[in-house]
Amino acid sequence: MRAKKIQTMEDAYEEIEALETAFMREQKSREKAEMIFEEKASNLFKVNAHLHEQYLSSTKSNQEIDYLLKITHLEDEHSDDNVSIIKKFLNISSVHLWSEASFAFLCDVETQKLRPVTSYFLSSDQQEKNRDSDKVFLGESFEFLEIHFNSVNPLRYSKFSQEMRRINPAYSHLNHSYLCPLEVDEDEKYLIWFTFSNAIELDEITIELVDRGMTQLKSILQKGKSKKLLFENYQKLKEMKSQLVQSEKMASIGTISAGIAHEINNPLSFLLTNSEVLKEYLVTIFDYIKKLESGIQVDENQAETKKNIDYIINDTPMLMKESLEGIERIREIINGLRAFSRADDGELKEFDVNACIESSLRLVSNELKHKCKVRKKLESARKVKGSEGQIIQVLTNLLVNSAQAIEEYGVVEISSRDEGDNIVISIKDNGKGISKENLNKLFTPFFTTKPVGQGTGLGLSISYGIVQRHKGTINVESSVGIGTIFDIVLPAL
Amino acid sequence: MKGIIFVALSEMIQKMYGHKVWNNFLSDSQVSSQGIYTAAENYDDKEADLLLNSISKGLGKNKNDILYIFGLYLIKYYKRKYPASFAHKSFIDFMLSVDKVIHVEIGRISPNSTPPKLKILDIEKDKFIMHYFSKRKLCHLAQGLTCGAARIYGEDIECKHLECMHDGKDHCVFEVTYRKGKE
Repeated sequence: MRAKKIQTMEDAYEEIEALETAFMREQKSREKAEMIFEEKASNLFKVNAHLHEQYLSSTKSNQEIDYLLKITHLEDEHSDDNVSIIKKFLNISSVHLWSEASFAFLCDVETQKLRPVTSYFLSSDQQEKNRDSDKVFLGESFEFLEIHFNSVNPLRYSKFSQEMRRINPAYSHLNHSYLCPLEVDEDEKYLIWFTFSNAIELDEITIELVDRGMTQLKSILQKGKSKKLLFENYQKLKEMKSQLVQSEKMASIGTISAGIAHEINNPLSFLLTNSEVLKEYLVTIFDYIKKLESGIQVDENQAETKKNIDYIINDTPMLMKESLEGIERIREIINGLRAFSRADDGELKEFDVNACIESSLRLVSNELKHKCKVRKKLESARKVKGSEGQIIQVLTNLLVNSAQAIEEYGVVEISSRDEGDNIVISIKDNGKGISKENLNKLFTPFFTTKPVGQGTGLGLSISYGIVQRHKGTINVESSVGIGTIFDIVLPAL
Repeated sequence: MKGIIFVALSEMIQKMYGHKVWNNFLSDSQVSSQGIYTAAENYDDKEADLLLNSISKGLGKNKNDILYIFGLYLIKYYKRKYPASFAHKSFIDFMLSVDKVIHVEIGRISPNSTPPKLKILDIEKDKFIMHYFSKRKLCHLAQGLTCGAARIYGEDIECKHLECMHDGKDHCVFEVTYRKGKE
């Protein structure tokens, strides 16, 4: 059924008719295609318009984000001065709002009157004029706004022109306002005042944005304040801590001073007796020498005198030896006390652990002697670098604790030994022991099982700190009813 | 179905058999568009069925043969209208681009269109397997398009219909073999 060749007129008419139909169809197709094209073009236009709108709104939201970001960055200013932060806020916000001049007023706590504190002007020559002085920015004579803080509700677009004219006629063209109260806290309230010469349309979105900026500013100022407060409290706490440490030391001194007094008193009493005896001996000897020198004949008591002198000659070295020993004992105690009192001088010296243990035992001997028998096993042959006084403080503390743990009469064993690179000082008692529950809290500051007024609860926490500063450790093992072992591990030299 | 297919079909029939014959097919099939086709619009798939029935009846030919021949014509028509889509180096590159580039692009331009899916697997030096998925089941058209495309790229191929949707399979499978050695 191929296309027929045109042979007759009839064929020709038929062909023309077919062509006509085809032509009409094609024309309609074209019209339809044109319609589609027009529709597409109009859609494209709409899409373009929509895109443009979206572009504008995204530019706007970019600016908004930029604005809020700038305000957020005010937090990094590290300025204690709230007014200077507010001034920067005025700068950022004025540029965003196109506000020709903006002011901040501080609300007087007593009178609720508003006193100007800072300002910002868009035009640069105005900025220059007001750069140095925040006082003159609204005119010399002006001191307070004739509006009270409490009467300022978030007044938007309020006409403050009258007030402006009163303040300074030069600014009377700025007769449109946007006011925002800013309450940092009860005692610190500001009023932020943006002014415009034209009643430009501040749309809801812009106003909401500035309000958000204000909220942000408020939290920055509050944060700054609480930071300051926190710092002050921290300083106070630090002071209190050093006071407490001092009082703990005083408490230890109180505990051991009775013992020290006794230790000193003992040799002192026989020193006194010995000295009195020696004084009498001297009188006898001097008498004897004088008589010999003046050539006076020794009387009939000669034999008696000779006997006395012989006794003195015999007895004196013994008395002297005893006295010197007593003096030496006192000196040792004093030395120990001095080392103890030097606890905080922080000077690091080499010292002998065994000597340190001896000093500590002397300081607390009175505390211990009625409660326990003390066994010593000093085997360490090495030295430690650090503060001797501080280690004495630790040892006396632990020894007193051990004695206090013993209910009637027990044994406290103190030993030193070398273990690898360390020296281990062990203090072992057969007292009542420490419960598991308390063992965990042992080194916690202010934790104490002693009645109120008898312990600060700082002894072990301070001891722990001291040992830590010596790069050592304190380990505790304890069983209730059996006893406790404290191991102090210190790095040896 | 895309209007461009109807435009190409009307062009082919009018070229081969004259306007009168096409006019008759249109009036015989009673298609609702009355044959007023534009390339960009989508038309009811039913319209294609009706036209195919009329053409088959009028020409006394098997529908599958008509679709195959139309496939050969349609690919040339496409090349005439969209030469850029045929810029591939080889036949296989072009075949791979059909599903991955051309049909994706069609979907983007007219989101309501539902082009068929072509999966080309087991590519070897001298043959590959083509899987055809379409709710329209125009596998013979696809076969014609494939053979026509091969000709455009100077290839002589055999396109064997291994499995067919019309035999109850869920999609059609073709084995395409290059006749001449392609070293």
